[in-house]
Order: sequence, then C-alpha cells, then structure tokens
Amino acid sequence: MPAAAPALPAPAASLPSSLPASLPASLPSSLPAAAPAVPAVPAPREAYAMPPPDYGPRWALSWNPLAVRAAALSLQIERLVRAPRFSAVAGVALRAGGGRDYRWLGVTLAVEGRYWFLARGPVRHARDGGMVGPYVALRVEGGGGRLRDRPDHEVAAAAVTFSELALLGYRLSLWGRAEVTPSVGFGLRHEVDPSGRLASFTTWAFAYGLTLGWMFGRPAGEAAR
Amino acid sequence: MRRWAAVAMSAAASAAAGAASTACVQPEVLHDVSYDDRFGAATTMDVYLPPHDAVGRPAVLAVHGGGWRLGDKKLEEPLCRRLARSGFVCASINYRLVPDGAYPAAIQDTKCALVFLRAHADDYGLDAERVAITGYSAGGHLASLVAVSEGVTELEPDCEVALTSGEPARVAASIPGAGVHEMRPLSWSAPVRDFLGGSPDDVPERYDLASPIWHVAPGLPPMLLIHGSSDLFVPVQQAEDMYDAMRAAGNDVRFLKMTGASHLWQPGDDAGFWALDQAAHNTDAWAATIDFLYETLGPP
Repeated sequence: MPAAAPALPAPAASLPSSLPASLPASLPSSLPAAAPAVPAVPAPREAYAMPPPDYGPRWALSWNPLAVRAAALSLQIERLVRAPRFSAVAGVALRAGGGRDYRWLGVTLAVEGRYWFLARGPVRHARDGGMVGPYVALRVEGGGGRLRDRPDHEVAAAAVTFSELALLGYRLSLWGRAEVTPSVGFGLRHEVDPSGRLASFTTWAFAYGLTLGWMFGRPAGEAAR
Repeated sequence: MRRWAAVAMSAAASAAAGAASTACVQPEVLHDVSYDDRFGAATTMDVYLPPHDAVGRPAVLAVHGGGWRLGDKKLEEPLCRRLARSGFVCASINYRLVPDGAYPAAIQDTKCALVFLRAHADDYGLDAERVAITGYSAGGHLASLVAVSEGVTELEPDCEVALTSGEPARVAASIPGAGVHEMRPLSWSAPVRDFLGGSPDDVPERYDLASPIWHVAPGLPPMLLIHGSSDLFVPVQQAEDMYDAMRAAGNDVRFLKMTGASHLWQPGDDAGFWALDQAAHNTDAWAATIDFLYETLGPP
C-alpha cells in the first residue's frame, strides 16, 4: 500500500483555498493512512483539467430532397463555429421551373445562424454532440430569376427576392455522421420586379423544410487537443 | 464568418428597404361596394384604386376560391393590392356560395360584378375594354367560364345593372389559376356535386354548361393558364385539356405549368422551404401574370 501513495493526486494542492478546513475529515475512509503524510507536490494544472469535450463533427453537407419536386437542386454547408451551441449555414439553390409556354431559371443564396439547445441527441453517442438535437435559427435568403417565353426564348419577366425566416428544427444524427433535419418556421418574403412593371411585394410565409446530409471533419474537441 | 454576416446584414437591409417602400404607397380601397342589392354582403366587392388619379386604366376582376362554398373577397386582397400599386384597378368580389350560390348563381354573380365594373368605368377611372378576370381554384373556374361564355343565355346575369346598363359581360383577357375547366372528371367530389346539384346522370346539362372547355370556340379573349404540376385538388390535366382545346380553336392561350407546385403548398424561392400559399402567388406566376397583362391589356 505505501507504494501506491505517490501515484495518488494531491487533493489538498488542487482544492480551492476557500474550502473548509474540516474537509480532510470527509474524505473516504478507504484512503490509506499514509496519504496525508505524502508531501504536497504542486502538480501542473493541465493534469487536473478536464479533457476537451467531444462535440462531434464540425461540418455538415446537406441536400434538400423536397427541392427535387420543384426541379431544383438545393445544397448547404454548415460549420460549428462556436462549440457546442452555434453553427452557421451557407446554402445555394438552383431552380429550373416552369413548363409548356414558359421556363423559369432562378438562383438563391442563403445564410443561416443556428443555436443548438442541447447540442446532443436523444441517445448519447460517442461523438454525438454539437450540431444535433433541437435548434432555432434565423435564415436570410436572396436570389433572382428569369421567366423566358418558350416560343421566343425571350425574357418575359424577372424577379429579385429576399426572405427572412425564423426556424425551429431538429437534427437526428445517425451513427454520428448521417443527419436528417426537418424544420418549420415563418417569416417575411419580399419580391421586387427589376423592370418596375410590378410593384414590390411583401408577404408572410409559413415554411417547412427537410435536409439529408453527412457530417464530417474532426470533432471540435479532438481538434482542440 | 464575418463576411457571411456582412452578406446577411446587407440582404436583410435590402429587404427591409423593399418592405418600407411597399408600405409607403398604398392603394385607395373602396370596401363593400354592392354590385347587386338583392343579396346583401354576398354580392359586394372591394375596389382597389391605384395611388395616383388617372383615367382609362386597365382593370382586373379577382374571384376567390374555396370550392364554391367557402372563402371571401379578402383572400384576393394581396393580389389586388399589388396590382393596384402597379397601376391596375382591381376589384375582389364576393359571390353567393353553396347552397345559395349553387349553379348558376355564382356564375351569374361573377358576370354581374364584371358588368358592374364596366358600367362604372368612369367612376373608377378604368377602361371598360381593358378588363381582365382572374381567380384561383373555384375562382379559377369562374374566371375561365366567364371568359369563354359571353352570351350563353343560361349563364347570363339577371341583376339590375346587367339588365339596364347594356354592358356585356366581356373580358379582354383571363388568368385562371388552378381552375376547373371540365366538371365531369371531378364529379366524384362533393364540392362539384353540391355546386351543380347532383351527379352527371342527374343534371348532365349543368355539367356541360358549367364546364369552360365545353364553350371553347374561335375568337375567345387571350387566356393565361397557371397550374401546379402536383395539384391534387384540381389535377393539372384540367389545364392541359383546356390549353389544347383553346389552341385547337385558334385562340391565344399560354400555359405556365409550375413544376412541383401544388394547390396550396408551394416551393419557396430556394425550393428548400415550402410555403402555404396559392400557386398563382409564386414568383414565376407573378412574372408570367404581369407580362401577360401588359401584353393583353397594355400598360397602365
């Protein structure tokens, strides 16, 4: 037993000075009697610091399957910018809509800031943390599109749009890497006709979305080590 | 991240500026103008006048949807406000709903409202020969039917203004959105049966007369069909058939078939987020609408 004594940490050295003097009396009785006799050697602070928490992958690349129905491709990339609560999203979407006599081609860019309430999923995974579970977000979109008259291939009209959305979502992480993220929200949508024929327009919108994606990159905690 | 934040703030500022400009210039609205005194609030309209006085302006008559049994002229307020701010006189109407508005009452009311608007062209500063009609869903049906059935005796309005003014129930163009153009394929649905008062076996002549496609003939006013490709309430085949019939008759018809759009759930601008709205309010539908109105009615 005496041989084990030097391996024990020196609790007295690391405890705050404000602790009551009677604290040693509350220490477990199983401690070897020789322990208090070991000289208190100041240990490096790092030896007692908790290891950086594991917040899961720092990046996510997502695709919106709902956009396919509208002949659109919508992708976004997300980064955990301040672990474990804050992430930022940048997205781009191309939509080639219209049919029969018209053709619509539009592009939209989006940025979004997310706050993760719990930063963990319902089932704790070794790397389950950070960008999982419930979140709230603010999203801003801006884009434009052109409507072409199909017989003449002339631009019939164009529009520039902006939207701001407040969103509530939930990300389910599968195996710590795959993600499914439904979200709902509401916001304002603004539409401007660059030709000036149509007055600008602002309306409320209730919205819902869904992304499927893959989370990657070294976990935030691992990267910090 | 700072760059992203700057882009976001810039976009938000632009949007806010747009919203502010929207709020600055509002049309004058004449609420609850009666076009047929016999039926009270059921036959009234809200007239949206452009902010600046003028005469001879183009006008749009807007007909709300709701399966002929629900809805109110307020549903078309966003459309009318935007059109009025763009220089068009716009009138959004109430019409009698089922059961009071069963065939042919709702059709007669819509025609009566059109005649009323034409008869009061000077009062509202509009050009009676530059009036278009639009509507969505059941309103799309009524808009389409009014556009193609001028002079059909069974559907003619019987209100006072129609009997005394001498104005025809004629439009210069029509924009039916997600409209029913042929009743028989939808005879299984309760709203259609309630509106027409029975099945095709019970009232076959009503199914014919209430179907715009049944009236298609050469010389009809230009028509812009707007319909979502994924509409489950009113299948897009309705618009496809109407388009083919109008073209076959040699009429000026265009068709914006909106990929993925449904009756009330629409893809947002980035298509990632879907919104609760009419397909006719989508960005591409607005673009097609204003281009069509300028081409058929001329600029305000």
